[in-house]
Amino acid sequence: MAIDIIMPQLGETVAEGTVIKWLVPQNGHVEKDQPILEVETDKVALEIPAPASGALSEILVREGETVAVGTVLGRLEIGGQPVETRSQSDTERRQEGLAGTSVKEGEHFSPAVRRLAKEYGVDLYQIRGTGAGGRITKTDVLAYLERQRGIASGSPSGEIGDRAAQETPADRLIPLTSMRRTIAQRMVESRRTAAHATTFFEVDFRAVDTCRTQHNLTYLPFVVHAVVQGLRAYPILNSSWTDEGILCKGAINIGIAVAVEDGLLVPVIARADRYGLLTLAKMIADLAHRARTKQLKPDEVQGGTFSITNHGGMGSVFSTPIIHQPQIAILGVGAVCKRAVVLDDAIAIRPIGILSLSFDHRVIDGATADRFMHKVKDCLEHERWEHHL
Amino acid sequence: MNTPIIERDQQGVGAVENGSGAKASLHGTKEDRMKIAKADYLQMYYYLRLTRALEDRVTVLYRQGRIAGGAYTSHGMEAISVGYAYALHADDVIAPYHRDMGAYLVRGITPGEVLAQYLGKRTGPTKGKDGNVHLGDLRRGIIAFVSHLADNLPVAAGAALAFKLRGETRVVVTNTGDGGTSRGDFHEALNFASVRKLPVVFFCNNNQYAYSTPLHLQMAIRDVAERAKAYAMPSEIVDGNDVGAVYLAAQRAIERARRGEGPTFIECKTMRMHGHSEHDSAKYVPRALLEEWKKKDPILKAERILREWGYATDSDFQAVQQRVIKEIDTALEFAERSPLPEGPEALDGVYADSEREGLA
Amino acid sequence: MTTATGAQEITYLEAISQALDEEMRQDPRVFLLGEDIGVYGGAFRITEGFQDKYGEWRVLDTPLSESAIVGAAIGAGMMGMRPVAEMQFADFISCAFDQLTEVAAKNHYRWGAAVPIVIRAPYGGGIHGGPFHSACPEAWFFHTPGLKIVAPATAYDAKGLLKAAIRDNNPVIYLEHKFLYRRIKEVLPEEEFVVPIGQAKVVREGQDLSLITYGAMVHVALEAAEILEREGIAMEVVDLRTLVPMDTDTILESVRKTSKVMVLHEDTKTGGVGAEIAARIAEQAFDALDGPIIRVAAPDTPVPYSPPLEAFFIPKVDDVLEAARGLAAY
Repeated sequence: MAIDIIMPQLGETVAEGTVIKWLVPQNGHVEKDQPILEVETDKVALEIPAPASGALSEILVREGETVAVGTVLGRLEIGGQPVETRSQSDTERRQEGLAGTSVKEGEHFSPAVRRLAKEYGVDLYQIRGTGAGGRITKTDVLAYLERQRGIASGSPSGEIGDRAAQETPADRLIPLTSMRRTIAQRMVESRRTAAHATTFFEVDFRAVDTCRTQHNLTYLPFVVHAVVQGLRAYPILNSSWTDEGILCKGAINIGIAVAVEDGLLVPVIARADRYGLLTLAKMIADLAHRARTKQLKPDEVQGGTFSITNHGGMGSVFSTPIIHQPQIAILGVGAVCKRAVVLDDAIAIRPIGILSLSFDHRVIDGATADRFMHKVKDCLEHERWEHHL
Repeated sequence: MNTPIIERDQQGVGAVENGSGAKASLHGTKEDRMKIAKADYLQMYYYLRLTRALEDRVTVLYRQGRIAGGAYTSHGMEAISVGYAYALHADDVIAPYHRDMGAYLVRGITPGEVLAQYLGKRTGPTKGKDGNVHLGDLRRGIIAFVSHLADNLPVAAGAALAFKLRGETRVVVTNTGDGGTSRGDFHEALNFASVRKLPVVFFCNNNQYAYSTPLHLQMAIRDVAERAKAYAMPSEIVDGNDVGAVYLAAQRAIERARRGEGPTFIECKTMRMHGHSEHDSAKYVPRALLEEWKKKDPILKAERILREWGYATDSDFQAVQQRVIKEIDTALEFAERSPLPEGPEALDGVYADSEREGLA
Repeated sequence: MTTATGAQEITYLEAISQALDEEMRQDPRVFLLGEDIGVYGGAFRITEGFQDKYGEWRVLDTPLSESAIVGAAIGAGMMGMRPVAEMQFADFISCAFDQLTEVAAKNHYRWGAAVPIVIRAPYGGGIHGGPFHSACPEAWFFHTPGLKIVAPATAYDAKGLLKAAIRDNNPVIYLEHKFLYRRIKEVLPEEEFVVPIGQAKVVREGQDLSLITYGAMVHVALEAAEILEREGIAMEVVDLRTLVPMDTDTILESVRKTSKVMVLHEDTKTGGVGAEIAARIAEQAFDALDGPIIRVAAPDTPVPYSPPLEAFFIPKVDDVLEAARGLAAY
């Protein structure tokens, strides 16, 4: 079979080039990358390397001729059966934008054919069409690829065969679910609306761990409790921005971000300030379970006034969560793991976790956010947890 | 028999024989006093006031440009929807139209919900999906209004059919305007309900104008009630500005329906005192006619009767007025504080899920 | 008729009757209303004997009022019943258009009230019914969010989809094809079954091109596919079964496999269901296409009466063959 030698694009604005000299005689052999001809465009003269090893079977543009970029200058026979030369005049042929695809001017290739050509780097001029008016069909391309595979296995140097055999996995388009669209819309909207800033606090979870392991609890109910204490001390964190003013919410309703199969839900623990740790733990487990099994009622994902995202589950240390509008802040809980810390000039091993608070700087200043976080940290480290079961 | 207070020469309409052969009752009588307890009358007066105060506030909000869409009031016609809704039992059902704010309130829709609905808030009964008076709630027995007038008449008949099929003694009341009675659905519904003796009461608020079209260009008959004759349906004509009269007529028809004797048609004569909607200055209505009807305002009329019957004094009226203004202030605060829905919520609820969402 | 194994073959029409009977027997909320369905047993005898069995009120003869029939079904449905309303001919559904598009379709969206009703609509031509007794009304309602539309092509689907429609909490327009009533039959399972709404079915597999269709045209498609196979063209046939919500996944899967697709429907061409299918394919599977998306549909005229005119009007096997051969060779 033969492959084309094409007048290359030598510079973005260059439209044509002149063949100065063929460096290989007709039917002469050339190795891949060995110079095969010299061309000149404007003031640049270059040697063009052969695209493959083979014999220069045809010279279509004579020395001294000037042709458009993309014009086939000659053909290189690289083994296998010679392909039939297509009837169209050779000068009509030019390269198109599609990577690795040769497309003839005025000829239409179907979307499926174009996709295959791009995917496997097929030069469509190597293919004889069997469709209406000689159109190349998808079946033609597939049959061609099948043949190439055979050639490739027989000739290790067959470049096209190698490419065809690569079997690049196709890109896959995942349709947008309405949940995905909603998440996307809300996330971008939140980023656009709120002036996000994030502050990080390191917390010693030793007191929590003691209570937690006794009662077989996760960290989350403790964090919810501490957040409630923080919100009580700094109610401005439990608010929404409105054009009329900052709306401080009466109730403390804590949203808990739950990863579900195809997205994210934030079910809400209404009046989280009313419950002890054991009840909070049950509520969190129940909401998370029903979030994952799509059994949440609509009002259970509404009315949140502050949210918590527990990103530490897989080991994430800190994060910059996006605020769940119209709330004003969201707390990220990082992984708690044992670290060496300096206490009273001695090195101790303590379970340390980092809390990340993203807050809306329109409403809350850094100092307020840090005071709130200090309160949360203080509560987590020093609360007498047994009194709050 | 009492002299009709709606004079033929003034209105071009007046009392007629009703379908059952009795003279139409056109205002509160001494016999009525025996039939309406003081507490009930005072409660209906409160709803008249509440409706008026709420819709007056809506008018103000509309003129301030705070309502996204249109605004429709029942100003001067409050007695009709208050009267019929007050005559129903809790598990009865209404299918009101756009001049029935009183009925929504009697059935337990709060002024806060109404204002939230007008402001397009998520806390309105339709969560912002629909506006102004298009609200419904099956738990409170309210089928939401459809703008295509008379569309809900066959629906009301169907709800009544469900009650009849199940042997329940529940009743449906529906209402439409004089214009609505020109639509085919009005006639299909009355005919079907009458043939099958369904427990439904058809009210007609004859306020003499359908948008700008006066009654004589709407129909060639003098009284809308004449339409009922074609369906062998008993009918009554009542003074739509007399809440006691409407209440008693509704009660008669509702009890008749409850007994399994079939539907009744009740024409309430009244006057539309505002435009079709608040953007409409209604210049096509003669001013003299409006001046005349202003004197027959349903609230003034109720106060006169309450005073005559010794049920209430002016200080009671003032107390009610103060109470409703306060309620409306609180309601507006609630509505304004409520969140707007977010854009993508527009996608929710096109289809019902597998959970049962209708009335059991 | 019985088969060799002794199992009873059931017509499409009998399958519809069976579904109504089973649902009425099992669920006291189910009742029927429509013109001439009671004493007379329905214009097509679907509800013959039902009134004897279920009484005058559960098989309710109504006045000639399509709008009131659908409106009453809506009201009863909202009050907890499961009404099945019959349009004597689907053509007459235009009289109830407003109740369907404005009341039934919008109630749940507007204020959360479910409208669990079924509108049975005997539709389609081939029976010399002329301009008022032959139409395919689906496109009117296909464009109305809030309505579901099913259009079974087999006795099995006719029964299973009707049961699913009755149990659905939404207004479902059930398109039953008059031409199929007594022309097709099959043995149905003894045990109870339901065909879920929203699932298309590949009724014949093939690699060379896909044909997407529904209703009576499924049989035309299958007949054409048989002939094409002898010519060496393997045509896949997808029976949509449900028009809304449309099973786009199954359509796209078939298109991605064959890369050539035609849509066939008995309804007129312009603005028909096929236009939407073509658009979805172009939007979502453009790079799989190896040829134009072809629609084979009735011409844009009312359904004519005289046999040669009607035969010309309704898409037939030859129309499919011609289009399929052209597409295969493209």
